[in-house]
Amino acid sequence: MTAASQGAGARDPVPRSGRERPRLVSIRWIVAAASVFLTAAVGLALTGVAERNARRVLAEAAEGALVLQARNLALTSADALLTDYPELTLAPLVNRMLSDQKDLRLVIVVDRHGVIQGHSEVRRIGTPYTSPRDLRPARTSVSLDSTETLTRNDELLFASAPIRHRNGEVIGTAIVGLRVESIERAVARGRGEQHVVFGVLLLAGIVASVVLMSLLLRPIAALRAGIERIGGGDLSATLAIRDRTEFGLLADAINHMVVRLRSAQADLLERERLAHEMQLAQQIQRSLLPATPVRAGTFVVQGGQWAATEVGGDYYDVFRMPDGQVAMAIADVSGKGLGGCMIASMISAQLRALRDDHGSPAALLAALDERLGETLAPGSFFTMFYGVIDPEAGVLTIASAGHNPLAVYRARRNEVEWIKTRGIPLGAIRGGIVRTTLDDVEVRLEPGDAAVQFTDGVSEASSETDGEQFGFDRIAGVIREAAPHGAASIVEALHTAADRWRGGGAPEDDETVLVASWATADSVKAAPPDIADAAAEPGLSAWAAAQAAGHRLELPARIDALAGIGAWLRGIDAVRAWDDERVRLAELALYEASCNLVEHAYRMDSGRTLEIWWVPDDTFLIRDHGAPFRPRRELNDFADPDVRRRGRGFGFELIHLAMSDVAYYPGTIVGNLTTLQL
Amino acid sequence: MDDGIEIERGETRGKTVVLRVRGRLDAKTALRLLERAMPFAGMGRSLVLTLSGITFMGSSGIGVLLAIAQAFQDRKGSLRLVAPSAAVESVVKLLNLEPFLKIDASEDAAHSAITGQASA
Repeated sequence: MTAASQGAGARDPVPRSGRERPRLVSIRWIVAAASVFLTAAVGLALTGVAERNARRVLAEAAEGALVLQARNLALTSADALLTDYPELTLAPLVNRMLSDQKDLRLVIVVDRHGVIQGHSEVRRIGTPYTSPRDLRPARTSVSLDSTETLTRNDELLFASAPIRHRNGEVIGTAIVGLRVESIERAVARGRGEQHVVFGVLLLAGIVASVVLMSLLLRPIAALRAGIERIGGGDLSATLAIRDRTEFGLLADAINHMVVRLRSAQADLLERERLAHEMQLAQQIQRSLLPATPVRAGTFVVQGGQWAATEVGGDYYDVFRMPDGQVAMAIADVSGKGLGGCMIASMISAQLRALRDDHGSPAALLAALDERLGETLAPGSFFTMFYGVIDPEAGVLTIASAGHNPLAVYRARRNEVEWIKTRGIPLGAIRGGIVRTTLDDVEVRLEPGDAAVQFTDGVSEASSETDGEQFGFDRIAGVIREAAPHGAASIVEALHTAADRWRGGGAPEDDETVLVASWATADSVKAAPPDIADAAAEPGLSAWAAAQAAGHRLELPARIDALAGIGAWLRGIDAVRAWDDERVRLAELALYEASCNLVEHAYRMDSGRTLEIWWVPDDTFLIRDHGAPFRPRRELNDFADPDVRRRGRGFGFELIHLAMSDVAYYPGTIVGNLTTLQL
Repeated sequence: MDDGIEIERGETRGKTVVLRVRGRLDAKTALRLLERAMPFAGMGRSLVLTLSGITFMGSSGIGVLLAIAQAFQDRKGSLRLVAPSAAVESVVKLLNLEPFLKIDASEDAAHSAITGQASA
């Protein structure tokens, strides 16, 4: 990647799990280094400024002194120049000046003709004076007369002053020269001291910063220890850090977080407990319901229930009585969820206890009301229907406590009639008044007739479009069509019709249907084959083969767990020998099929598991315990841009294309099975 | 890898954005690619998706690719898939989606194809 793209692009954050943490760089050393740096910078700047100032001051002083010396020389050499042999007087003067001032390099007296009369070097006396090369005016703040000069080159600084006669006439020039480096030497003397002071300050700065940072950072260790403890799951203790800096605030914030985490943890545990209880309740409720149709003589009693998403509250039961009669009961408990399920199991228990003693349905219901009234919470009431079939007499005796009317299909007239009964819901009024409202009703049946009961979930199923209820008339219509094909058909047809009416969404209320039909030879022949028996056979033999020789994978029913399918496949020796494309297709089909099960059959219930089996050489089998469903395979027209825009629903097609054969066996005795063949 | 998918931004060339995807493109992760890619659709921009690092692709993945392709096409851009791995090619071939998903061997080829289309 080039630098440009690194800057421009936003990288998805990649968690660095498993990578080593970079070596720790302590704040105290960072701060110490920073303070060293700053102190050094400031110190160097200051000393630089100080040095410049010193140099200037010293230079000015030297210049001023030099100019004074030139003037002095001019004054003292005035008389000498007027004598006949000035050099004799000037020589000692010059030498004394030079010996007194070690920094002076040149002392020269020149007469009005430009001839040197006084000079430290004897040879130069009497020669014409030539000023040194490369002299330039020296910038100075010393005030000079117009006749005086201050000049310099790289080596020397020159001051010159005119020598005047008493009457003011200029008779010569006095020149003195100073070594420039003497100024530098003076500056250098001061520098040494500065360095020492600077060093001491620097050291003090480092020590001070390290000590300060260590003090400030003390709480960090405690904070870290506390956070690690919390991260490890120990929410019991809070951080006891009393610190007036931001660390104290941090500790406070963390403590608040711990408190919130504790209550969140408690909530989570509570919710998990409830969910677990719901599951248990569901299992209990399923165990209460009769599984298979009950046959008594020529009668067939068949029931079916489709629970709303949570635990259902409807109850239905079918059982044989000692004298060959068959009893059927259906109840719709108010409210859903856990409470409804509890009441349903109470009804079941009481019914089994009371049924042998009460031949009359009305009496039985009244007794039930009395018993349950003692235990039911106020406001918990339920409608219930109870009927007893005498197969030999062909009579159904019923009583209903506020339940739906009974639909009776009359084969001879090919019509449905409704039998209404008196009665108010059980548990609605305490004190046994219900007894007086209940009545037995006898319904005489003929061959081909069917008695159908159901709960509100069917009759009040509301339409997807305008919320209109399914209603009794439509129920009657469905019964009329399905009745000739037997009890199971009626149950199935009512469920399908209500489902379609609702538009296929999840039911809001439990749907329960209970049918007692007088089977005739025709209706038995006309009934569709029992799905559970015949068609399951190939699935069950695949299951048996899997048990005998297959490789098994159990997965939680969660989408993210399904990513393990690939690894499992490639872990099987024989599969590893397949070519890559074959393995890919197998993984794809298994993944898609499993996703469907998690989404539809389990409705995202992650507490369940599903099993995947590989049966040598080329068969796979998936077993699940979710709601049985048969996927509808729809072919997608990819040429339609709306299909492509939709971007979903291609799973089924992929499964069927990846595999040579796929078959579904919902609701077998071992659960729902799907077989896939490469 | 975040949940099994890693999406990296490559260097943008003109109006073409480049994303490189590695890992799994399944029911869990496909949405992430959709969220990442869709904001770029519009104003004639195109998208190059390099899929050489895809280890598994399911129906959600192919669905998301089709949806992205259609979204870019609707807004006068295009989607090009570069060097799809065998996992991606399997699914494309199974569903006969070659007419709807344009594939190139390299990002340079994809860029050329896009500019070729633009000038056409």
